[in-house]
Amino acid sequence: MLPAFEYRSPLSVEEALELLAKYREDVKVLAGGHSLIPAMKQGEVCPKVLLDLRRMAGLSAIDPFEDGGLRIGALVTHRDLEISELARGRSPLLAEVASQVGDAQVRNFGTLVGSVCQADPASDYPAALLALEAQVVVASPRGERSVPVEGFIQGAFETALEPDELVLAIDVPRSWARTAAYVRVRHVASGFALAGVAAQILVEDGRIASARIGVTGVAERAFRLAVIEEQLLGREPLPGAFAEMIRGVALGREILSDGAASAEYRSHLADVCTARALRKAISRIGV
Amino acid sequence: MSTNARIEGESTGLEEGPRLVSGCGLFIADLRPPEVLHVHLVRSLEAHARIRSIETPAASASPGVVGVFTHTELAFVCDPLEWIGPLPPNTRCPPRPALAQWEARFAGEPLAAVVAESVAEARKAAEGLEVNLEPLPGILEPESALLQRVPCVHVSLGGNVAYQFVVSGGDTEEGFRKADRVLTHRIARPRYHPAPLETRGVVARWLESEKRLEVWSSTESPHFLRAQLAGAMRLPQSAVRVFTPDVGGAFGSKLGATPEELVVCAIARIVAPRPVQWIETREESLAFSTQARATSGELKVGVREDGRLLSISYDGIDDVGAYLPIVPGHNPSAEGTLLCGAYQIPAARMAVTAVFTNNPPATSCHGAGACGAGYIIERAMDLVAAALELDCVEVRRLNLFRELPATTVTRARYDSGDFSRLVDRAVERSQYAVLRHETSSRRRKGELVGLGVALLVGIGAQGPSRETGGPAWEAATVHVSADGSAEVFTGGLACGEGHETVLARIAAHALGVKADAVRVGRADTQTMRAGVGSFGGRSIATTGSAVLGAARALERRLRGVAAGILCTSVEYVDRDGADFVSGSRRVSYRDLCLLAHGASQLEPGSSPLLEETFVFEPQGSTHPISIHVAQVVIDSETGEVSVERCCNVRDLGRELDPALVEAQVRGGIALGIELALLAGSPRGDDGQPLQRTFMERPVSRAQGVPRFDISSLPTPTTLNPLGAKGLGDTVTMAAFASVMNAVVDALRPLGVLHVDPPATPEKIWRIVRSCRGTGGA
Ligand SMILES: Cc1cc2nc3c(=O)[nH]c(=O)nc-3n(C[C@H](O)[C@H](O)[C@H](O)COP(=O)(O)OP(=O)(O)OC[C@H]3O[C@@H](n4cnc5c(N)ncnc54)[C@H](O)[C@@H]3O)c2cc1C
Repeated sequence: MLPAFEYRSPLSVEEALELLAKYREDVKVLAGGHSLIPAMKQGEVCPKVLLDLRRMAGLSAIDPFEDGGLRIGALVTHRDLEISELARGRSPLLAEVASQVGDAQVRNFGTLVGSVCQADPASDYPAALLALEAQVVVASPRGERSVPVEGFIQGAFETALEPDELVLAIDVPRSWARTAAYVRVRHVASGFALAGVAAQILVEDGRIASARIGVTGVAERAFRLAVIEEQLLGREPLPGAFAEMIRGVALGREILSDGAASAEYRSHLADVCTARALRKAISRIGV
Repeated sequence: MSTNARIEGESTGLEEGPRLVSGCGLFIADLRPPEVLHVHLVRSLEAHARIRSIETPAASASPGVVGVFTHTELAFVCDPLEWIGPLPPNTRCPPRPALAQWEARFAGEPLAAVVAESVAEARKAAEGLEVNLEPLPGILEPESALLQRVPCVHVSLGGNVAYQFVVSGGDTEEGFRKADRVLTHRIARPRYHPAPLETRGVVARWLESEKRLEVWSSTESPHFLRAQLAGAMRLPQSAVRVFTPDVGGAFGSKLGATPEELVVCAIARIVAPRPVQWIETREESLAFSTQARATSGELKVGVREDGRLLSISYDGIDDVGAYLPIVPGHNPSAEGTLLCGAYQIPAARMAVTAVFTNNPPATSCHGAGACGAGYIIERAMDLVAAALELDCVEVRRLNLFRELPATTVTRARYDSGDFSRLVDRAVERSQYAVLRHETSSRRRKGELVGLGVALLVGIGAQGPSRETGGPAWEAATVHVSADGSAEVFTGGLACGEGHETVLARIAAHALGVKADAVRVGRADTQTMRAGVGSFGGRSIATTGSAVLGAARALERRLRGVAAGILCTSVEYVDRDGADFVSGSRRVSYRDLCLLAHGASQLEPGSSPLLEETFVFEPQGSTHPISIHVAQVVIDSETGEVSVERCCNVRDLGRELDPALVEAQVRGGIALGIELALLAGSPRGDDGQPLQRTFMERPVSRAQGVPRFDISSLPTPTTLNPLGAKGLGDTVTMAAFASVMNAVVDALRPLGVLHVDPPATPEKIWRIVRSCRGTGGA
């Protein structure tokens, strides 16, 4: 059952920012509504005002940067990312993640930006966004700022967003197309990630020249596997060659535990997904 | 050419299909009586606690609140729910209060009811209610319920045993002595909530001037609900009317009254004339509603070296939760009679002790519990196959009843069917030999692949009453109006199976008219004054036969009237299409109905009321049969199980509407996979539910099920005139058992002999890891 609220649908960023400044903690931004509406039904959040972004112009586009990067607007849905030629060409990793989120209905409504703002620890995107070193573009009455996703997501359902701020887009830098992969294990009921790993590797002269690996679902917030990224440098990209270094990638973090998966199992899944993501990424070299 | 309804045929699904799929169904939550008040229930957060106090003033003063009720206030208008009629043998059924009085006996038991103008206001007000509970030690594990010096869930009973039964035949001990091998294994099935799409709900209104109670409920048995509510509300049954709107699934969880229905009726009486509504939330449904019983016990099989079973026994403890569900024909021992399944075994014994615990009340969901025995015997067959290194199909063939009818040693009588043919057909359709071969070669490559078979004998329509312990009959009335339109009333109802379509067709066929001339009325205790309900697999076999009987009797009456009009005697009246003819004389069906209502055309002494009522009671239980072959593959690193293939062959007797049957078979298989891999209602150590939404409670989804190969080899039963055995949950349980068998088969190379359901990823991962003694990779 939805509690009562006032509904506003501004047409411009300025208008939206004014409303945010006016209502602050009492307002919630509505994008695809696929996290917010269920949370309202459960009584977890009770905003007095809903600020619907969907009539605002200019937030639905996936724009190319000249250097090969992408700007993904706040209203771009999972489905848009999944099928956009531009996104698939420039950031196949992100498109791969998008194609695995929820089911068709969820993908048609939910947005990338909404997912990042929700900061659900089991959400799929953060693994890839960390591996891609994406930036969150934030607007407020004080102007625009760019925050790395790594710093933007601060914990479970916690972000660096101030009450009067609005996310306009996510910027994804140019990525090394195709040598990336996302592998996850689904929660049997929700379909969210029990563990999800995005890996991206750059191979030059038959050796790994750069590697970035992001892990989601396992801890309160997604994280990078800096040590493994380092160890991979200079190695030959042979499938299954790194098994010995992928042992306990999540150790040292506070690992989530619930009815669906114990911490021990999640930690194990993080290893499995890491190995599989690397293997899959390597298998795509030269494809 | 006749255009009249045929009793069997292509499905039209015309009666309820369009209504239900276009969002035009009328469910309990769609009812919006004017001036209705809403109930929000405040439930115990403790599994077991003494109620110190419940402070209501703050909540009562909250906006929109009309009243806040506890046990004390409701005791003026109602008594606790009690068992109706004689208790089954060795059963103790403590009364179940509308709201807990001194003690809360499970996490989720209703303690207080807040009544307000809106659900939101009731909920808000409930936050102001001060409930002071003193936690008490409780019983959460059924095994501990039987220990000495443990708390009693019901102190007045002086112990925790709810009921006990033993079903046995032959000398099992001697069988074990003569056996070359005796295999034992502990096996268990978890509790789970069946999660019907529509949650429960009730609306009630008290008519003070008439001293009558009107109740609308999403129930499987309106007449039984009426009996229980009347008893607890201190009213004659004639003063209570229960209507049933569309029901969106039940699976046994909507059978019999629960405190929620009683609370709403009691409050309706207090706040009359305003009607009162309660709609169960999804959280209440998944976490606190009546669940499926858990069972665990020791399975013992005595077998000869050649694979013949000599003896089987199951000694188990069932967890019925805090209260015994009060349902008609509640007869858990029916399960025991099916312990031998499809097999000729000289001795069998099932002994069950059911205990009260501080868990939510639990009942027989899915197949009247009868199918639980099917799971036990089908696990037994695979244990034997593994021990003797025989193929699992071979072991089954060796032990099958060669010919039916036959009676098992536990006195289940199978009247019709051919087990061997069903097995042959399943082996052929599934290409079992090819699959076995494929399994071996994939295993050599390191895959954990498994093949599982289960041959399930279920219970469809039970009967007769004197043997089943509960009412096994059903009544139907067929009425024809002056314009020829016919209405069918029964004590049963549909929960989405398509009964309206089939019942209308049965009546139309017998009346000799088109199916669209017949409507099926909604279940209503006033239009149908006696009835039993829809549960198990009884509806078409029992209710359908009652409809057939009533329609046939009415058709005979119409012929009699026709004879008078056509100036002939009844044996010379024929039907031509819907018309009645004798020689060259003819009267159309419509004219006849009109004339019959005009008393002048009637024989002296006959009635202008074109209506017949017929009661049908099966003289034996029908036994639908289903054999299922499943192939699974296990991801050895993650423990995830995927079902790759499903092949099902069934004998459900005559299938009046193959398309509707197939829809249920498909749904049943998906559900069976769910029970094997997903369903369980885990609770924390404190008895708190861990599943409150569908984000936690897994269900079968389209992407998790493979294509099904389904086929039918029907043999009509002789136990009812329609020849239908009913579906029950035979197909579901066959799919369930075969998937469990396939999971064990996949793990066999690691030395695994048994896995309890549900085979969740983490559980399987742990098993693989412990067998391999490594990280599982
Ligand atoms: C059945 C189901 C299955 C799902 N499965 C998955 C899955 O497998 N994997 C997965 O990752 N996710 C899954 N999701 C979540 C889904 O991806 C959501 O769409 C997503 O988490 C939120 O996006 P949204 O556009 O719907 O945001 P909303 O629900 O509209 O908003 C979410 C939060 O972000 C805030 N917000 C949104 N946009 C902005 C903005 N521009 N600026 C500031 N704040 C903003 C809102 O105020 C709110 O707090 C599932 C959801 C459902 C319902």
